[in-house]
Amino acid sequence: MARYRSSRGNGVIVACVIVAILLIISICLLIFLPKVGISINLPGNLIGNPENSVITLKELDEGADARFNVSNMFPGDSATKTYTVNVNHAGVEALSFVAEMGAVSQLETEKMNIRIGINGSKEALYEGPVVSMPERVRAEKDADEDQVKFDVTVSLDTSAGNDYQNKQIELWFHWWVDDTDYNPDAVQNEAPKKCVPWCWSMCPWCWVIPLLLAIALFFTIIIAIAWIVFRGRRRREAMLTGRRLGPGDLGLAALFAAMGIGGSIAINKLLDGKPEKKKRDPSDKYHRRGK
Amino acid sequence: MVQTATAKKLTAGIITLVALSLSLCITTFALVYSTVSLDSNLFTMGTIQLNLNDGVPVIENREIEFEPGMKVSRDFFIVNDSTDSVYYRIYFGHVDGLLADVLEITISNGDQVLYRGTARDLTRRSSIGLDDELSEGARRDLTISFYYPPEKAAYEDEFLEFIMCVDAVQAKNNPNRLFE
Repeated sequence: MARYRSSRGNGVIVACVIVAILLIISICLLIFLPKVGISINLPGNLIGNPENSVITLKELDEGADARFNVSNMFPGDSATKTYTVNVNHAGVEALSFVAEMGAVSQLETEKMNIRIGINGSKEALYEGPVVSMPERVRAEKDADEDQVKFDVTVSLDTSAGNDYQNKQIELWFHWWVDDTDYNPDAVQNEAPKKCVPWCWSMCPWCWVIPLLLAIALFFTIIIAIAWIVFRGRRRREAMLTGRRLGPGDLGLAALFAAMGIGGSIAINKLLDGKPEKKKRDPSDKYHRRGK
Repeated sequence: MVQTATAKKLTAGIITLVALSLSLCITTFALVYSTVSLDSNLFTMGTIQLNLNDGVPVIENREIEFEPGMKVSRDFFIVNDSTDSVYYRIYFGHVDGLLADVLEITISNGDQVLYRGTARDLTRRSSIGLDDELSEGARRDLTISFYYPPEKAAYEDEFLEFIMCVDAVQAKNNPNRLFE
């Protein structure tokens, strides 16, 4: 009875390793097939994306000092600066924006107001004190629109008193896109400008990402079951077989899977990164995150 | 002993698995999230500041023994040390002594008389200079004179004490010249 259970444990481990190897092979095939011309899944739609980012700021791309600095502000003063956000993917139906007080600010004030408008519209997305700004202001756009102009107006309220003299207020601006701003249905009838993981179209990314998630889920379940099975039997196995199976073998299987996942991501990144990349300005100190 | 070694291996395996899962989650998150940030947008406020006669009183304590019919004139100045143009107003504060209602005070900008009256009447409400915009760094030289009318000789042993005050306010965005 004990020997039978041990064999079953061995079988699970062997199955894990085999499945991991098979999955790695299938991932590699998915990545390399387009390159050898067998598949029509050409990654040639990865064009003209300077930073491989979903959104970029035109002013930063042009290497200009995009910061919004205003000196000698008096109550009633206001200044406007327009920022152009380039959207490098179809299907993005909204951009999110927020302004927040920076660490250098000497005042946390209700008197510093901000107005956000887009594309010269008279209608404001938000108008009021910076400190009362919601966590996100959403600028709706057409799914195929590739630029949105944000008119940012900062003003000091006329009721600001002497406490504001010679003080400094720092603001941080953030634009972003996340899955709530993206509608994949909007690009069903058109080729995406750039392959993105969530476009579910004909390109490696669209296969790789769900596949990776499935692999992770699969191994989590398998290893959890294996652990439960082995836990109560390791003493008997040690006596009968002289060899303990379990954590080591499981770790090996997980390592194979991880190597496969990491490798496939790296290879895909390399393939995606080929098209004309603009050189990034070395003086660009504004941080960007994500793809 | 065997049990302990197995437990250690199991723990290591689980930790590895969790770390790998976390890495995968982070990678996946990064793929569906894109942001651009612009830090260090600085907004610096201006300053309103005046230099009133370098802080020196226009007439020193017990400097002159006033006699009926006597007139004493003193020059003083205002410099706009603000970062922009200002409107200013001159008035007397904390006026004390019976001569406050006796001495005739004249404040003038060259030939232009800005105020003529007693010290008691030159209050914040009746202040002068409101129409004069002082640009950044500009200096205004003014003259103040004190005249003791001969018919008020009965107050000869009295005194006048006051604080000369100047308020300033931004000229920009202030068409109604509001000081409050």
